[in-house]
Amino acid sequence: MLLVHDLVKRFGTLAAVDQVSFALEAGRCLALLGPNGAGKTTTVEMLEGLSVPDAGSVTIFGKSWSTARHEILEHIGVQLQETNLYKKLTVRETWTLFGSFYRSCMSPDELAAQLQLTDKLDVRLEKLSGGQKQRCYLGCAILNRPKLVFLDEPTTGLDPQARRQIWELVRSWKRAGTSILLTTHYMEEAEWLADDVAIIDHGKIIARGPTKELISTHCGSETLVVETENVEAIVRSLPATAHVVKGDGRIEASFAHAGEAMRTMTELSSGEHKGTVLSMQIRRSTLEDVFLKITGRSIRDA
Amino acid sequence: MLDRALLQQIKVRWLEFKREPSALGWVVFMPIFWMVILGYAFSNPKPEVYGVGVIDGSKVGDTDVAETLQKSAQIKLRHGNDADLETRFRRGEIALVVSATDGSLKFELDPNNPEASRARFFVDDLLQRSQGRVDTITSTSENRTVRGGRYVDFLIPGLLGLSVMSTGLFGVGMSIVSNRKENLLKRYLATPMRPGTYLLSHVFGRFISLAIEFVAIIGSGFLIFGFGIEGSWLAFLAFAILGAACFTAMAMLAAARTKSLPTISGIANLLSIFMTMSSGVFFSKNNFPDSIVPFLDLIPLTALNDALRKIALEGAGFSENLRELLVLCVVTTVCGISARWRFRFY
Repeated sequence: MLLVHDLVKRFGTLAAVDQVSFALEAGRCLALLGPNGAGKTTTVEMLEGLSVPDAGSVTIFGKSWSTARHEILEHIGVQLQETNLYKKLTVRETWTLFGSFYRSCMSPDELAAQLQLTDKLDVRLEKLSGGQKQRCYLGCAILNRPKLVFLDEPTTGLDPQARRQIWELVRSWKRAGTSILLTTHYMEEAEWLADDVAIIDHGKIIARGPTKELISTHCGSETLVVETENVEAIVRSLPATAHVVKGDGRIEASFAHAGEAMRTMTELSSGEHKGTVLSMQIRRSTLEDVFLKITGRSIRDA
Repeated sequence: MLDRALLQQIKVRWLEFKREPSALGWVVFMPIFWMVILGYAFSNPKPEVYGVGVIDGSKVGDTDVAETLQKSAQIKLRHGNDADLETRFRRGEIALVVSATDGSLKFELDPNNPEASRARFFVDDLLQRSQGRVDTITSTSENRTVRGGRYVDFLIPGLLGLSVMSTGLFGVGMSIVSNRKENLLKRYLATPMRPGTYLLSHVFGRFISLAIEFVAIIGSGFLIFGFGIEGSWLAFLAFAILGAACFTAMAMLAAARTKSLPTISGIANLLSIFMTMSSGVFFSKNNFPDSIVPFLDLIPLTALNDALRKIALEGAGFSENLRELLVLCVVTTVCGISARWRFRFY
């Protein structure tokens, strides 16, 4: 469906995207996950044909942008970051406008039913909430029934409820067989939507694979979080199999197997460190832990 | 050429215009406002009134100068000593100072002020007659006015030209730049719409707003001042359309790459002020020195105003406006092609 090989984009001497390769198979969702400024948008804009890579190749439906631009555009859907459509137009007028660019498209009524905007069809965009507006924009991305959809940070700036609504929509498209390439800096979003994840930092892909596998290979399935006054002593007493990240008064130890975290927790609560441990909890490992382990930084601080 | 995408884009141009009340207001009401204000201000010219200062005690023969001048409705008289009058002169209250000693008159004035020179001759004539001067030749004057010769007849085509220019430069330029700034143009690039469709829609969109301003200006000119077009309506309309296309092309070129609204509004201001000043919108371009008039003729707004006036006032057609036609066509073509070539969607 989408094949990306050794993609490079330079701005002056800075390589904003540095030899990025991945593939997206039909009916799957791939998330490009990384902090702000990692090169996600630059990458995705090359995939969308909006900018030309300095090196490498992009193949969509087995075709390339330089020879089959029109053909590709007819069958992809795009949601750009930070776009504002005409605020004086209604939802129906906006979709009719975008629909006129394609050989065939869904009717506004059909789209509204799918995006839960039926009662807003004849309302101007300036009167919509953030979530409704975003769904209207998403309508523009899917009205040509695309085989492949690019979503660049589709839920940034939305409240949790609006975000969840959009996640449900994206999952329904996936069930219907649409392939989706998503960029995000929200861990939960990638875990919730993506079958595969590529973690990108400073323009390079630093880890790539099916979401669950990526977490278990890099971090184990569970993480024990310990808050203590005596970080060094406790770290020394942890089993060698644990992957440990130290913070200020805080230790995060990841384990490959569920039992190990529990066993360690029991040992710490009864052994010599009993007095210095303030609190302990076990949680499921996340993509955040993977990012932290590989880069040493939290994705939010990066 | 008129495919579905283009028709939709033209519809959007129209909706954008219609739903922005201030845009509609500027396009329709500004020219009518100017027409009414200037039309009435100049419609019944009263005789000129001169500010004249007389030094106290000025007499010629037995008559007091101040007393004689007081009788004329065309003189706004001030009198006082030299210092008083100096102050009034500085303030622009009077343009001429009159004094009389030993039976002879003295006029003091700024030679660069044409009004002062006219005042001097008026006052001199009045005083000479009061002392018994008789004309050697008899003279009479009769009123002579031609159809379309009122100031308002001259003004209306100029206002139409001005409006065609500013709606084009500001309306189209600002709309393109704000679309680019909002990433909307980039979004279009990710659709199969042909890029030229967007630009073309601005030209057609401009024709729709032109229809509104044309009806508003010419219609109120007709209703309020009985303005009429001597020549062919078709030619008049054709020049208005060509003018709209020309300024739309200029706006597209100016907006081809810029991402900042202050920049495009600066460029549009610069162009429109320059053209308004030098194209004779409110007063004839023939007030400029003869040596620079041929250069002014190359400015698109001059060409448009000249052609509209010749058609409306002199009954001219296309054949008398070949130079104007050429200027507008060349500017439209050059700006249009350069705009398409330079245009960036983001």
